Order: sequence, then structure tokens, then C-alpha cells
Amino acid sequence: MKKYIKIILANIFVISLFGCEDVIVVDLNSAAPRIVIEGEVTNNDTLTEVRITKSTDFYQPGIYKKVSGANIVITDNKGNSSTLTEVEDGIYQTDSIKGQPEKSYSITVKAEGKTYQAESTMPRQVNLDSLSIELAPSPPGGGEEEKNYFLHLYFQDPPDIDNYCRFKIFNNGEQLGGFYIYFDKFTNGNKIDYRLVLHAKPNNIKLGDSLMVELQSIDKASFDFYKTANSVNASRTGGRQNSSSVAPANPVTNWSNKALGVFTAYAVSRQSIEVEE
Amino acid sequence: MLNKFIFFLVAIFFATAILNAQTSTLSGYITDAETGEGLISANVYIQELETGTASNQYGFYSITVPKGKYTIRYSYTGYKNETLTIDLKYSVNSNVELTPASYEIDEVVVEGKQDDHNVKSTEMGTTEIVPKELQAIPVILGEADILKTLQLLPGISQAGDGNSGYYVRGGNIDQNLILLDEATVYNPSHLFGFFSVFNSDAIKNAKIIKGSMPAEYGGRISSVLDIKMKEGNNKQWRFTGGIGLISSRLSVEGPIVKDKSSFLISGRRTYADLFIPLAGDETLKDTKLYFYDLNLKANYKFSNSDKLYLSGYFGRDVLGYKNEFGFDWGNITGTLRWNHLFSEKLFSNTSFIVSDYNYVVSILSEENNFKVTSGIRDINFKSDFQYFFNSKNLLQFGVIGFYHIFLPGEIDSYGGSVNSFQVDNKYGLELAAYISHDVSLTHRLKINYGLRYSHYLNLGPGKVYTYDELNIPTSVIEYGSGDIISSYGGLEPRISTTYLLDETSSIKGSYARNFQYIHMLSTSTTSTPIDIWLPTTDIIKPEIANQVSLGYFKNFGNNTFESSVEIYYKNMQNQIEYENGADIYFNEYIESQLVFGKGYAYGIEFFFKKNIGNLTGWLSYTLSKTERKFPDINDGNPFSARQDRTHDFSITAIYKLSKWWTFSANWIYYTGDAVTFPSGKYSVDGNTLNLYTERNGYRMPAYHRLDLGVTMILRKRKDSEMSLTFSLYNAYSRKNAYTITFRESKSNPNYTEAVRLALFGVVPSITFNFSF
Repeated sequence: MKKYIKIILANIFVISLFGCEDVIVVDLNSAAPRIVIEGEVTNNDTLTEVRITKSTDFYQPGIYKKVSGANIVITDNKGNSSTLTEVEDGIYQTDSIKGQPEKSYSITVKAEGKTYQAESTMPRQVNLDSLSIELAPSPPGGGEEEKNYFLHLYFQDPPDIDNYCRFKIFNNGEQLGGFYIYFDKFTNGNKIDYRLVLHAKPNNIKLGDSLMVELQSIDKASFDFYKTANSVNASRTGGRQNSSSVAPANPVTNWSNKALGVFTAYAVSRQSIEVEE
Repeated sequence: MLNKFIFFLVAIFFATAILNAQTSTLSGYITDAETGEGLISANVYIQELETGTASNQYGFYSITVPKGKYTIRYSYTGYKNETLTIDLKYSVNSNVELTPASYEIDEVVVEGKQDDHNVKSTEMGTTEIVPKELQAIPVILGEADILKTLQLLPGISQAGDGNSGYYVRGGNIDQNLILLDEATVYNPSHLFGFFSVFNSDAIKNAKIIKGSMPAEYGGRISSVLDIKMKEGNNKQWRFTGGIGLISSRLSVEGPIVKDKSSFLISGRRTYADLFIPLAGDETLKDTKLYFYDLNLKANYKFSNSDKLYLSGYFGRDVLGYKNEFGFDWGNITGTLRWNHLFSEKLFSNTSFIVSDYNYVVSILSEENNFKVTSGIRDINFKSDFQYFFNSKNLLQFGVIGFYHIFLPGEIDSYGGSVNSFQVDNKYGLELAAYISHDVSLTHRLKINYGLRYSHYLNLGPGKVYTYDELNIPTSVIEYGSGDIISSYGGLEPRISTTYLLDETSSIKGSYARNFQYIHMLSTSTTSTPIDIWLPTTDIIKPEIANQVSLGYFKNFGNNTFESSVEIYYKNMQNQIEYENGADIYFNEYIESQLVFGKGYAYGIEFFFKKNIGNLTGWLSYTLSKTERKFPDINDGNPFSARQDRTHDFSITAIYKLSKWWTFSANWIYYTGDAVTFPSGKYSVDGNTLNLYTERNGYRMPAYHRLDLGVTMILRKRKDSEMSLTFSLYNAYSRKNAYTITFRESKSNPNYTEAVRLALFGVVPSITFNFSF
């Protein structure tokens, strides 16, 4: 529903008729670098990992300072606990915490003299059954430049509970920008045919490419993070950004002490498909 | 405080009653001789007594003076004066028809003496516009538009390029009450705000009051825009219309029973979609995109003391693509009014009004098949009385009641993966009663004071939730149909005074307190059809504003020039914002997504206008500040409201070169909106996210724009006219930023850049107008 509203608002014909875009230089303040912590616990074979970086100024290149020397402990709700090892600058891992659905994980990060905490619960796994792809009808007024694909994701939404998902999409192994998310508020318990619009050009999608979709079953806090992050996401190629938001703000996070980023425990299900007309 | 106030009122009432012996009343209607339309605020002046009155919004006037023989002059701007000698031995009914001044410039009879209303009335921050004045002002795509013209006045600023929404003295868009023949218009925009819903062919008069409203108005805390539709010509048939680039209009009006009854039908439709197939683009062919307006009005005069009016407005925007997708929205209003004269001194109007706004989105595709509806609906009853006590005292009182039905959202599914879903409707009863007294204490000192009491009942059926700190509902209480869930009320005192320094200048002061019980929040910078109205509930408190203002008014050159300076201070309580990341659509728990705080605004407004001559126009400048303070936003520090425009300047000039040619121009400049820009960036899972440090800490680039217009009269006779209007919107093609987006550079994704979207370059247009 919201998706449709956004499409409408974004593609106001008047804008496409008269509107023109250009790059301008805006005098932006520089902000004190802030700590960004990304933590993941999954139920597949990837290791539990935490990455710590710093923010930078808007007009600086996208190279983010890594934060080394942090002390990180993850504990599950059964009392199992593990301290992560720094495997390279700013990247911390452990193989002794393995994610399991319906278990909760809490994390404590001590870095640069401050302590940050978060919690996440891995929901029951939603299985991605299959994918299909089709060429979308060109949008009104769009030419070859605006070629879009509809990527259909088929899965069964589990009844009785609220389900939150994130879809991570890879084209020939390269992750596409944007956080694609799903919540079953209006579709609880149904067989889902979830249609994503993928813009061919910015995502560099060509015939014969291999698309892989990773369905992550996430908890509400993670969903809220991705949802609010989308409106301030500079990498979004999934369509026009929600740039007309009255008051953009930093995403809602589950970290304490004003750390940026998110700590998420998610269950994974994957499917792949080849791009064809 | 209140007791004293009532005592004061009663005392004045009796004092004036004693003076009432040996008097007669002169009353009647003042109408246009060519159309029979009632003239609003026409002047009646008794020369011997040097006193007078003005007609009300239905054209009725009444003045009570000592018995005697008098010379009475009736006048109205742009019309020839009418002078009568009347012997007021008894009360006399005198209906007067005024003839519009002839078209020939040199014949224009403008004595101007009555044009000092701005100086002498107790009205502050009030401007009246008649559509005739609009025609010469250049507008986008040639559509004369009352809302766009209002935005050229001091203290009123446009909400953005091509936006019908407007901010008044730092208030939000939803804090403006917009009335069309007394019915609330909930969404005044067509096509996302590029056009307003008011077709100027159907409009007689519009009046905006910036906050110091008299007690008869209420329900919004910033302003009132009171628009009256034409009644319809009761003398002869008349056709008016226009053919423009984007739309065409046609109005038909005429007598049903000559001099007794008339009607007006006025329609407008855009036809951009009719041209789409010509574009040759296959994908555009199945696109639907248009809007239409229909204004209907009829009246019947039973006798001199009873008149019935029926008016209606229907308008809708329709967007769609094939059968897959549809999106349409619009307003419907209907007003049934009964004017009744209880005596030559007591005028009453009773209205029964319905108002409806809704939008419908329908999706029909293989995966999904559903329809979404949302809106608001009102049933409204009001009764207003005007007691014309004598030439120095006017008493007004009345009651008003609204039954509001809020439809936050409903999904009807016809198969596919979406389920049917409904957020419960909400119900409310909004009631108010008022009394006000307009009195001339001396020739120099006039006071209008009044008191309004308003009350809101949040009615069942409904559920009331309580929430914990994480906004998770912890308990629910269910109420049955008709139960009172919560109730609020308050007194709204209003006072405004004028002190005449001399015959051409005055000082005015006013205070007003206003309550607002229904609220609209927008998540977007533009007004969108899906903005939702929320009622006052046990969590959402009524918005309250107090405003004081002080002004100096001065006219020059026999009212050729008028000028004013006004200062104001306004504080606003129980203001509402969404919290970060709020989930607003179809949310049963919407109240948990809101944060509350207060706001204040102050400023100074300068206005200078030339009324008469070949060159007319005005200049307005506002210097102001608007801030808000919310415990949950910006760490509790005050922040600039988006509409905080430090400088707001506009100049409008109309030059009548000859009978055939009129040139016009306006130039607008204002400080860019206060907005939130990123002060940095960071990376999460391969995505670059913008980093924000404070709310509204940056400014959009300053906005400025020049518009030019030329009207060429092709033919002008007494009863027919044809003209062509050319206009250039944004003549020097200034790229005013509509939005600024911060995103990864397309050429080098390692860098981020700011991208400005400008909506309009220079937009030329041509419109053919006619009437016969």
C-alpha cells in the first residue's frame, strides 16, 4: 500500500513534465565523527560479526574510519556468552555463538571509553519458495533509460504472528543498494507474491545476470531501523528517495548511548534466478 | 474576569437601549443593478449625521437613527454612488441597486470617500478580494486563483512552489479555516496543489482574517478564509468562460423567476489527458489525469424577509493507469441557507451544511486486488443573528455545531495477497456559541469585543489505548456508540479596537484566543491528497493560540494610497508533530506516533497599496520569526518551524495602458524554509546513510520569482467581453529548489552530492476569456 502511495507521489506527472534536476553545492557543517556499530547474528554458516566505523563529513569520500580495540561480548538468552575477536581493523567475529530462531541475543560493546548495548531476537524463519522475473511496462514517459524489472518473491506468510522481513538482493554477487523490507500488517497468513521494482540501469541489471535474493526474517526493532534508514539512504537506487520528508532524522536504532547502526539477529532463506525477458 | 466582562456587556446594552427612544430604522438590501447579486460591505452613509453602516455578507443593511429627513448615500468600490433623500418618520425599507462604473477609464466614478474602511473599521489583519481584481494578476498556466493571490499579502506565505497551501503568521497549513459558502473545505488543492479548488468564475468575494478573528469564527488557530460563491444573475442570462492551455471553464447563470430567483452553474475541467494520446508515447496512452470542479447555486426570495439559498461544490482529481491503478480524491460541500428578518433590526441566517473529503486508491493487478479509502465527513448546523441596534451598536450572536466523522482508512480486498483491513472510524461533536458587540464609543473610538465558548466531545464507539514508553499499547478501554470518551472546552475572548488619530489614520489593537479541535499532519513538504485529519482525543489535546496585534493604518491622497504596519505575537499550545520514523497510515495506534509541544511566532508586516489610477498594485513585506519547542525533538531545544521565513517580500503592479491593454507583474522573494540537511554520512551494510545533527538547522536557498502578464481586450460592450491573457510564470527562469536530495553521485558513487529539483522553468501560457 505504502509502496503504491510512494510511487504515485514520486512520479507526479507534473514533475516529469516540467521538473529539472541539477547538482548544487550546499554549505554543510561538519559534524563530530560518530560511532557506527553493525552487528549480525544469523542461523546460516556466516560467522557472528560486528563492524565498527565512524561517520565522516558529507563532502568527504566514502571512506569510513575503522574503530579498533573494542571489547565486544554477545550473550544469548540461555546464558551462553562469547567475546569477539578483532579479525581485521574494525571487524570482530566469533564462531561460538550460532544463531537460532526464537532465541534472543544481547550485545555489549566497549569502544573508545564508552559502552553501547543492544538486543535482538531472531524470529521464526520465513522460507522463500521461489522467484520470477519479468520486464515491467515502461513507466509513463520513460524510454529505454528507464527500463525496469519486476522481481516476484513467493513465500508463505506465517499466520498468527507479526512477520518482518528484509530482502537483500545480489546481482552476480554484488549487493544492490537500498533496504527492501516487508511487514505483514495487511497480508498476514497469506501466500505472498511480493513484487519489487528493480531499475535496470542504476542497478546494472542485464540479460543473463544472476540475481540472488536473501530473505532475512528480522525482529521489529531491526525492521524499524531499515524502514527509517531508507528515507535517509543516499545509496538507494530502488527509486526516488523520500526526500521530501519534512524532517529527516537518523534512523531508529536498538543501540543505547546514541550509537548509529543496528544489531540484528536474523534467519536466512535464499533463492536465485537468471534475468530473462 | 468573566463576570466583569458580562457585566460590561449588559451595561453597554442597556445604556444604548435608553438612547433608543424616538428613532426609526432604515433597512434593506444593496444589490448590483446588472446582476442582482447582493453587495458585501457596501456603504450606507447619512450625511446629516455623519454616520453610516455597511451591508453584511448577504447585502443586508440596517441603521437606526433619530427620526428626521436625511440624505443617504450608498456606495461601493467600482460602482456609481446612489444618493437618496428619505424622510424617516417611520421605519423605511429601502432596497438599493448600484450600477457598476462604466468601463471607460475616464468615466470611472470613484469618489473614494468610502474606501477608508481599512482605517476606520475594527478589522485587523483582514483583506478582502473580489475575483475581478484577480484577472490581471499573472498566475501559473493562466488559471486565476484566489489562494495564489492571497499569498502575495503580508503575513501569508506560500507553502512552496505551486502549492495551494499557505502559512499565516507562522501557523501550519491545517490551522487555516477555509470556508466555501460556510462549508469547510478540507483540501483546497487540485493536482497536488498546483491549482486551488476555487474556480474564480463562481466566486463573488473572499475574505481572509489573519488571527484576530471576530467571535463568529472559530475552530482554527491561524486564520479564516471565508469565500462566498456568486448567487447567480437574477436579471438576465449570462455566460462566462475561458479556454486555457490546461483547462476550460464555463459558467451559466440566470433568473429562474426574474428578480426573485436565480441560479449559477459553473464548471471547470482540465484536459491535459486529452492531449496525451497526441504525444505518441504508447505508455502514456492509458494514463488518466484530470480534475474537475462543479459549483452550483440557486436562491429563492420568498419575500423581503425570507430568502433561501442552496449551494454546492463538487470537485475531484482523477489519476489512473490502465485498469491497474486508480487514485482519485476530492471535496463535496453542500449548504442550505435561510435568511430571515425577524424585524428590520434583527437579521438571521440559519444554515445546514455537509462537507466531505475523501480519497480512493485502487490497485487491480495479478498479485493484488484492493481498494483503499480514507477521509473526513461533517454535518454542520449553524445559526447566526445580527441585531442592528442603532448606528453605533451592532450585536451578533449565534450557535454552531459539527458532527465530525473521521475515516482514517479502510482496505477492501478482492483477492490477492492483501487482506481487508479497517482502522475504526472516529466520531466527534464540536459545539460553539458566541456573542459579540461592535460599538462606536465616540467618533474616534470603536470596539468590537466578543466571547466564544467552544466544546468538543470525543464520542464513541471507539477504543482508547494507553501506551508504555516504547509506544506499545498496554491496555484498551472500549466505548459504546454515543458514549462520551473525553471532552474539552474553553472560552475564547476576542477584542479589537480602533482609535482614529484623524480622518485618514488610526491605531488598532486586538487580542484573540482560538481553539482547534481537529488536526492535520503532513509528512511531506507538499500538500498531498493523503494527508489525514485527526480528532482531538484523550491523548491529542486541543490546539490553543493566543494572539495580540497592534497596527497603524494610514491612507493618503484621498484614499488613493493605503498603508499599514502591524506587529503580532502569537503563542500556540499543544502543537503536534510526528515522532521520528512514525508509522502513520492505517495505524490503529496513531496517537502513539505523535509528540507534542508548543510554538510561538512574532513579526512585523508592512503593506502599501495604490488603489486608484492607471497604475495600481501593492507591496508587502514581512519580517518574522516562528519557533517550536518540543521536549522530544531536537533534545528539547527550540527549533525554527519549517515556515519560519525571516523575510517575505512581494510586489504586485498592474498598469492599464489603455482600454485595450493591461500589463501586470509580480515579484516575490522570501527566505528559504528552515530544513534539516545532513551534516555527515556513514555506512551501514554497504549503504551510505546521511547523518543528521539537528532539526531544521539549515535553510533552503532563498526563493524568488518574477511573473509577467498582459491582458488584451478583444471586444468590450456593455454586456459582452472577450479578452486574451498571456502570462509568463517565473519569467527569468529562476531554479527555485522544490526539494534538495542528498545522494550518492551517479558518476562516482564514492562521493555524495546535493541534487536540487526545480519544478518550473519559465512557464508561458495563454487563456481566452469571454462573457456575454
